[in-house]
Amino acid sequence: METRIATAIAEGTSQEAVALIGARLEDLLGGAAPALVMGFASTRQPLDEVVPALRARFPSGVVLGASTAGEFTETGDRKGSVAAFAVAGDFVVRAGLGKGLRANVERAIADATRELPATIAGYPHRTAILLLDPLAGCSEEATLIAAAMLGGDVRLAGGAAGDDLQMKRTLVACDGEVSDDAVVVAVVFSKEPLGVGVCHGHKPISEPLRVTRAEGNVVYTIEGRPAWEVWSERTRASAATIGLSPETLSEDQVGAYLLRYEAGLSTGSEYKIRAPLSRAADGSLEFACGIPEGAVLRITESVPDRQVGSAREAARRARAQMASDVAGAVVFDCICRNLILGERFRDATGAISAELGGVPIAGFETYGEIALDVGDMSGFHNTTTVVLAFPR
Amino acid sequence: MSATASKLGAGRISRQDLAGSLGESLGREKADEVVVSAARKLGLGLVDYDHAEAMEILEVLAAEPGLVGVVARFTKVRMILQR
Repeated sequence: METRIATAIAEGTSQEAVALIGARLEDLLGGAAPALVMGFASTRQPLDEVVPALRARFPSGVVLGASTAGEFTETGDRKGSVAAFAVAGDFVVRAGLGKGLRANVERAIADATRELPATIAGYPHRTAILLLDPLAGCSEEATLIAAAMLGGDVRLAGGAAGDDLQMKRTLVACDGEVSDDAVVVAVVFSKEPLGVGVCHGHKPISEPLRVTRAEGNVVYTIEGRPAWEVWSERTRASAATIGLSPETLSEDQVGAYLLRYEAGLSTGSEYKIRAPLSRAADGSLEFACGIPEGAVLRITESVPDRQVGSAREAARRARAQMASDVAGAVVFDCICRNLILGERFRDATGAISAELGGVPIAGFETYGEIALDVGDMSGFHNTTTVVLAFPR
Repeated sequence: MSATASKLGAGRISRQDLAGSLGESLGREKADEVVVSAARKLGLGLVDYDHAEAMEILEVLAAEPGLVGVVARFTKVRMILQR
C-alpha cells in the first residue's frame, strides 16, 4: 500500500483550526484512513480541545498531540496556530500515556508502555515516538527508561512539549487523554524502516565550568557561585553583539535568553546540549533533565548558518537509514533554533523538506528533542532538529 | 550505534570506554569521576575491566539516585544486549 502523508496548519479558535485542518487532511489523504494523526497546538488553542476534536474527526487512527512554542509545515512556520500531520499506509500504531512523570518516571513510562505489543505479524520494524512534559525535569531519564523498556531494536524520536515560552504548563496527549506531568509513548510498526536523524549546530563560548551544587534538574551553583551569575557573566559579550544584556532582561525574556545560551556536556569529540529553562530568585537554573553535581559543562551559542546546515544534516541522516524514498516527515525542532534564526527559520524547514525530496513535513518547536538510535547511549537533546521520516 | 556503545560488547572494556558509555548523558568528566569512585569502592583497578567487573561497577552506580542511577541501569541493559 502506498504511503499517503498529509500536513496542514491553521489559526483561529480550536474549533476553527481543527475544522480547517480536518478538511485539508481528509482532502490530501484522498479517502485513506490514517494510522496516525499528530496535532501540535499553541497555547491559543488548548490541547484538550484540539486533540479530542481531531480524534472525533479521525476515529480510525491513533491521535497524538503536544502543546508547542511554534508550529510549522513545509509551507512555513507560525505562532498561535495548530499544525497537523497524518499518515496512511502500511503502518500499525499503538500508543499509551503515563502520568506522574516528575514523581516516578519509571512508573509513568511503565504505564505508557503497558498495553503496547512487542510485535505485530507482518510488520518487522518498530520505531517509537515519545512526547513528554519537559517541566517535569526528567526528560533524559524518561528517554533512557523508555528505550530500555521497549527493547534494543527500537529507534526513538520525539519532542518535549512547549508553551510559547511561558514555562508554566506543557501538555501531551494520546487519543482521549491530555495531561501535563506526563509522557506519551507510541510505537509505529512498519514493513520498512523509518528514518531518524538528529543534528545540532552549537559551539562552546566558555571554558569548562564545574557544577558545584545541583539537585535533580536544578543547578544551584557553578564554580561555587550562583548559576545565573556565572551564566550572565560568560554570555554578556556575545549577547551584546545581538543587542541583549543579561542584566536588563525582564522575567518574560529570561527563558528565551537561556535557550540562546545553553549548556554543552563534553562527550568526547562533541557536545551534548542541555537547555536551562528558567531562573529562580536564588540564581539557580532549572533544566529539562537531570544535571548531576560535579558535571563539567561549557556554555554554548550558535550562529544562524550553522542552524540551517544542521537541519539539512538531520534530514540527510534520517534519509540515509531508509530503504526507499521518503514520503514525508515529522520534525521536532528546538524553539531556540527559531529564536536564533528568526525569519530564516523558514530556510531551515525548507532545507529539511528539500533534502528529503520536497516532501510534506509538519512539526513543532520544542523544549527538547528525542532521538535514540539502536545502540546509542543517550537520547534527549536540546537545540537540535530531529527528523522522523516515513517511507513511501 | 555510537562508537563508545560498540565497545561494550568487547572482551575487556577500558575505564575510558566504560566512562564514555555514561558520558553521553553525564558528560565525560562526571562519568569518569563516578566510574573511578565505584571502582575504588569495589577494590578494582582503574585501567580496564572484564565483563563481570564492568557490570559490578554499573550495579554500584545503578543504586545512585537521579540521573547517574538511570544512566547506569540503561548502560547495563545495553551491555547485556550487546553480548
